[in-house]
Amino acid sequence: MDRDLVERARAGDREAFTDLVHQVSDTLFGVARRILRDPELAEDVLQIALVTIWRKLPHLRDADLFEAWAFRILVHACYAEAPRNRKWAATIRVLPTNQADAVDDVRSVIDRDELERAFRMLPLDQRAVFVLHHHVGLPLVAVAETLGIPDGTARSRLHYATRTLRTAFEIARTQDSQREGRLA
Amino acid sequence: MSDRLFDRAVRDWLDDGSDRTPPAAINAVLLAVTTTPQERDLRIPRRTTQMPTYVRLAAGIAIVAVVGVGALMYIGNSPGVGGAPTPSPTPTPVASAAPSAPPSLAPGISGWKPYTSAAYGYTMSYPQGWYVAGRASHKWEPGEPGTEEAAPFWDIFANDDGDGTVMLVAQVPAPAGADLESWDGLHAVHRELCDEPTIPGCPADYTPTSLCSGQQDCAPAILALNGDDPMPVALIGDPENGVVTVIWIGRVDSFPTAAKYGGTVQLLKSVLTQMDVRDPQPGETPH
Repeated sequence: MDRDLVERARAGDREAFTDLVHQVSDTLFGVARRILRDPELAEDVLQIALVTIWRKLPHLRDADLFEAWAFRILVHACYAEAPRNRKWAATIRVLPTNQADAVDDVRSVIDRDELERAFRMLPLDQRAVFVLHHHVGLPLVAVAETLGIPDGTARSRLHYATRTLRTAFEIARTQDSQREGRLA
Repeated sequence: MSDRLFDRAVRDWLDDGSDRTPPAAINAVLLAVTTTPQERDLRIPRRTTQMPTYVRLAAGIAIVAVVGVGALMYIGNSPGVGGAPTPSPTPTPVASAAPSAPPSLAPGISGWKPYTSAAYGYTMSYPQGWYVAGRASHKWEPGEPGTEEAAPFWDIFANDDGDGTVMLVAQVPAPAGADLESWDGLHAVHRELCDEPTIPGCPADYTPTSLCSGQQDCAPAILALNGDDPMPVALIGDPENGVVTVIWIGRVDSFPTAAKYGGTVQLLKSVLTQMDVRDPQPGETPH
């Protein structure tokens, strides 16, 4: 992150903020999309978060902490907006039919769908920890700092999220094996 | 069930889909920011804890001294308490600090900043104290959807004060067979482009004003003023490259914060002077 850009934007330089937005928007959009599982809602949340970031920038004490601070604002925007937009976005994929590895592809799609279904059952705070840790790659301590929660809370949220996803994944795999056994 | 299988499945699932932010979302944010003030940071830096004791002591004494002297002066000047009343100062005429603007500038504009559009390649100037609020991500194309200012084919300029005044610039290819060598031809182009959802300033009652582009040579340009309180738009023909530059002030002439420019029409005319667009001389017509 360009520290100078953050400093200038913090001082009210809109041109610097424009450049900053171009630098961070894809990362923030990716996080919002993964937490919310809905690209349109993620787009709305991103806009809310970026305008909030602009408004509150003068309160940011250390420009080096910009990214973590921006993640926190984004996640809070997700918490605020998600309940107002409860909808189930359909994910449609075209399954290959004439390829040698079709079975693997189908299995992969089933895995993803099961993970997707299980993830959507998780509370938003668990989703946020999971995405920041597994997608952004933040260590758990940094996730806790970013979200302003104790380390232990971050750890337990990650634990519950992982357990739920793993259970869903294992059930899907077991059912898949049984199905293949019956066909064989 | 192996951890590796699970981890790989999670990674594949998390990597699914595109993270590219839709340009319209970015432009909408940047436009919103033009009218959104930042919150002021009112916290006082805690510097005293880092000061040596003697500095803090000196600062304390200085504060006490200033307050004490101020209080004595106040008491000394108060009628009825002591001392003669001080005559009120005679108002003296104050010369206006603001220099009168050159004739080519709208009031409220102190200078210009150059800008080259990455998407279109044109170069122009925008007012000092403004900033680039959005850069066109691609060239305008016929049938381009969206009628909002946030459409991603505009270069957008906004006032630094966040007063809501915005200027949008794009270039559109001239329709097939268009005559960009005359004012009538440019009016026809404008009328034709008005079928497009994204070209502004198009109601039937618009008043086209003929202008010249070029100081030595008069190429056609027009100012389209739609209605009594227009949201002005200018079109400048470029016969050589077969394109028309469209400059749109996205606010009506009476927009409250545009009053400092004498309205948005005056603002646009001022911008046009920086692009060598001017009123034609008597008898002058495009070449």
